[in-house]
Amino acid sequence: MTTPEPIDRPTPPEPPAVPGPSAPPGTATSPHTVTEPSIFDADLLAQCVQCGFCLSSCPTYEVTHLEEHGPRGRILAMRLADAGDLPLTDPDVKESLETCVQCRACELVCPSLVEFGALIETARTEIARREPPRGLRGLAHRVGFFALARRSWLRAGVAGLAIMQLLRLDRVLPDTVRPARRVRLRELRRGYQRPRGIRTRGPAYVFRGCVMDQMFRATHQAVADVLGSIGYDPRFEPAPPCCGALHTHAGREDQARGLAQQTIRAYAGTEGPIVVDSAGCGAAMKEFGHLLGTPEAEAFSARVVDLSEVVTPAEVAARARPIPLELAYQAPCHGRNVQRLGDLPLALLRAIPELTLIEPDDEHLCCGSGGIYSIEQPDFGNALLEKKDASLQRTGARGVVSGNPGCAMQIARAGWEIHHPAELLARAMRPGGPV
Amino acid sequence: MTTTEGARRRPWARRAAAKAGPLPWLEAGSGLTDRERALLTAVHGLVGDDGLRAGELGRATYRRDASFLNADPLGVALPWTVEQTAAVVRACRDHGVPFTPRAAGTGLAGGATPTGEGGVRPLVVSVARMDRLRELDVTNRRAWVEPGLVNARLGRAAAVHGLRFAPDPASQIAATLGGNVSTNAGGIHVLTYGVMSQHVLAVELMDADGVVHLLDGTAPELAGIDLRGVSVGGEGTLGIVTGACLRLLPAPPSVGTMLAGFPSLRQAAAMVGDLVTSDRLPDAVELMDARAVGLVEGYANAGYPIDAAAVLLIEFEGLPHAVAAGIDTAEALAQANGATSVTRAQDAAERARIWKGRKAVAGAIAKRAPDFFLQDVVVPRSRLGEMLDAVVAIGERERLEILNVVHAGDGNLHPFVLFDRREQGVLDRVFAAGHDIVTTALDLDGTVTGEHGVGIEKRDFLSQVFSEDDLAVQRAVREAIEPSGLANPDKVLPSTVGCLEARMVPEGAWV
Repeated sequence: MTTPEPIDRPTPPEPPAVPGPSAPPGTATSPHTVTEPSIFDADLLAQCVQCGFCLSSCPTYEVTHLEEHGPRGRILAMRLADAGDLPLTDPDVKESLETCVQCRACELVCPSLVEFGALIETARTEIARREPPRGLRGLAHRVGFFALARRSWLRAGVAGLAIMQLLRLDRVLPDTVRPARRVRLRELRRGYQRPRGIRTRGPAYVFRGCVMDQMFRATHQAVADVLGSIGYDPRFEPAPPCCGALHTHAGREDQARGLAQQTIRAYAGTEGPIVVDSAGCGAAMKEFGHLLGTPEAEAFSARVVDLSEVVTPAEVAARARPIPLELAYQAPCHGRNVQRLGDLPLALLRAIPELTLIEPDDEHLCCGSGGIYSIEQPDFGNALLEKKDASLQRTGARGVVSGNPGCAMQIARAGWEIHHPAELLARAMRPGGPV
Repeated sequence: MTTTEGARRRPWARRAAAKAGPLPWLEAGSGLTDRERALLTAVHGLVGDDGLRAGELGRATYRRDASFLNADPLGVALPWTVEQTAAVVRACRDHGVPFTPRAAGTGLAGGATPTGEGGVRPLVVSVARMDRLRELDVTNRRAWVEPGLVNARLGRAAAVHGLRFAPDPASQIAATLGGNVSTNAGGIHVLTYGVMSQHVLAVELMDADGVVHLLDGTAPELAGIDLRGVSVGGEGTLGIVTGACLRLLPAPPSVGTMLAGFPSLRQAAAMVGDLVTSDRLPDAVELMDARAVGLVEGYANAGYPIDAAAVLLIEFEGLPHAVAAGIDTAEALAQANGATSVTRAQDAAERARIWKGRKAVAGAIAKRAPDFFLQDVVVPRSRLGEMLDAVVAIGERERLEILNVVHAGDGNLHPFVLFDRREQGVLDRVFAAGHDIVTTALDLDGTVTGEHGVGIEKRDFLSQVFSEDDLAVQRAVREAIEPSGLANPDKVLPSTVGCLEARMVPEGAWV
């Protein structure tokens, strides 16, 4: 590849901008000192024209208003690293890239169509490879990411949490790590029931995932009920353990690939939509094609749908009973910015009579959950939660609708009652009701 | 008038911005001069860990705005309040270090590029953190804003009350109002609503002594010398805009949009002249040439006539019957000027589709070339056809693809010069084309910028726009308001001491 000039400086690298003794050594204008093979796709990295349109969409820029905490500054950091001006592990470069919550809101507004998600994932994977998390954090990562991929381990862990919560022992945990969601042992034991009804359509697969399958079983059941009521034959099997979204997020791309392959294999030989009720998992699974680059992965990704893509507002309106509630609607970033669901989920819920949904006035800025981001970057995570909390309060609603478990747990930390769209739909739709 | 509420920022945000540990760039051996170290130490004392960046990455990210012109700053200070800003500015004065005001850095002329006279690196002072809407006065249709408030956010806040803020530069989703005031920004609706200056009632301008002056006031008409007018478009050379009172207008009750295709650029340009001199003045007239249409249509499928040499987007706002009459007039004039196709938007969806093409230009370019250089020149409407032909010729001569997107109603051209900066020597050709576009506009009795500002990019052209006498008065005004010369040096006014400052641009280039 041709190495782009540092900071797109149009000058031939003759006299630095400020000549003389005042220029500190090793500034961005210094000649290349490190030569390493590029980890970035040169064309992707070259795509940004540094126009800055992305700034106001970026949640972390909105917290500090520092360029290095915005997409333009992060791309510049990657370019400096790529050109060898600063190492990727420079404390400032690393901090700039690791504080990205990966909400991908910048991609939605980018006029130059920069694939920021791909770039930041490459950078984070490389940082994790060069400087893997150490000490207690390293141990927590190894155990945590291992457990996510093994249902029995995760189940044991969640059961432990439930017992801790029951005995109020979870209070010893620091605030940022303590899950706000109350897990009940009863919920853990609860099985899934395939709803009865007339099957006018083929099978639809409810993707159970890792954390959702332990802590949000009622949501999965609701998805199945909704699918059943519009004539699908909902299935809870196959049940691959984890899609690997959190692994990708944390720069553990090898593990993520393995889990993606495992997931695709599990659904081999089946046909029909794979319905995902977690915006983050749905986004990751729709990008399996991108992650693995195989025709099987592409074909699999094409089958992945959000609930709002298989159910239409008309189908809801034809069957729904009123739910007289006023709720704030929070659009999860990975549904809005990656899956680009737009107003689909909102339109679906608005088909429920007497249900009032209010959109907060915060331009859908990320709530700061970001997988384990709220734990890893508590200053940003808490700042964003405060912003989200304030904008939700301004709606005057008493509860929140959110279609992502990470967002749900984050927002619940501020004391909000969270409803999953699927649960509201299931409550409103009579199984096999009038069409 | 100053702000105090900004100080009550959440502790989380301040902690997120601060980084623990020593400040290695302050230590001996970091290459700082004594003066630079003394200033950084003083500023650090004023704004704390979360308000100062002077490390390599921090400085690199503030080298430039959205232009290609860049220089190494001493550091960047990010005050949370007007008081902190004043203290930082006073520290700069006390140490004799210049400062460059900045907010979102979406400017295209290098106005926020931290150049300093005599090789002294300036301190960038970012006002991005002062981003509140201080007051929205619906009855009197005005808003007091802080400089870091994003343009589109004021628009959204106003829309709740049936009001709008008219200046709508393409960068409005991120560009801040302080920057809009400083560059006298424009947008699509300049034709009827005018540029930023028409929408600024009062400016709070902080001079290089850190003193805030309220220029003009909220009354509709004030007597006396219009200092507000002087400060709008100052690009930071008169001090820092720390607040402004802006005019809001009622949102239009209805909108009508039309798309017309023409067999030649000249016919489209003639249509623009006829339309603007008719008795129905449209609110927006945008022109795109065949190259732009071809690229956009292939990418966005907006339904543009790809066989046309130029298309015009025409929009009327106002009462429904006035809008309908305007569209009728425009259609008749389009037919008279030989339009090959005329489409009227029947509903909001069709209107959105027509605008989609215009807004997709940058995205369409991204699919063709990774970089573009966006020019900004103005010619009299009567010379629009000549100018467009000249741009085509310049593109052919420099072997560069140039798309023409024009705010045609006011003769404001935005040629996009496409390139890939990784191609050897391409920048010389890009800058040569840019230079020729500007000189051609001047030859056609036009001017060097419509809305992007002068910054560094257009600075040395000003002597061709204004008489020496005029420039001397401009310098005298600047020296009267900002005698220290520390506020954003090197910008707007041509240097009297020759071209020694043109150091961040290629040799033989035009800035």
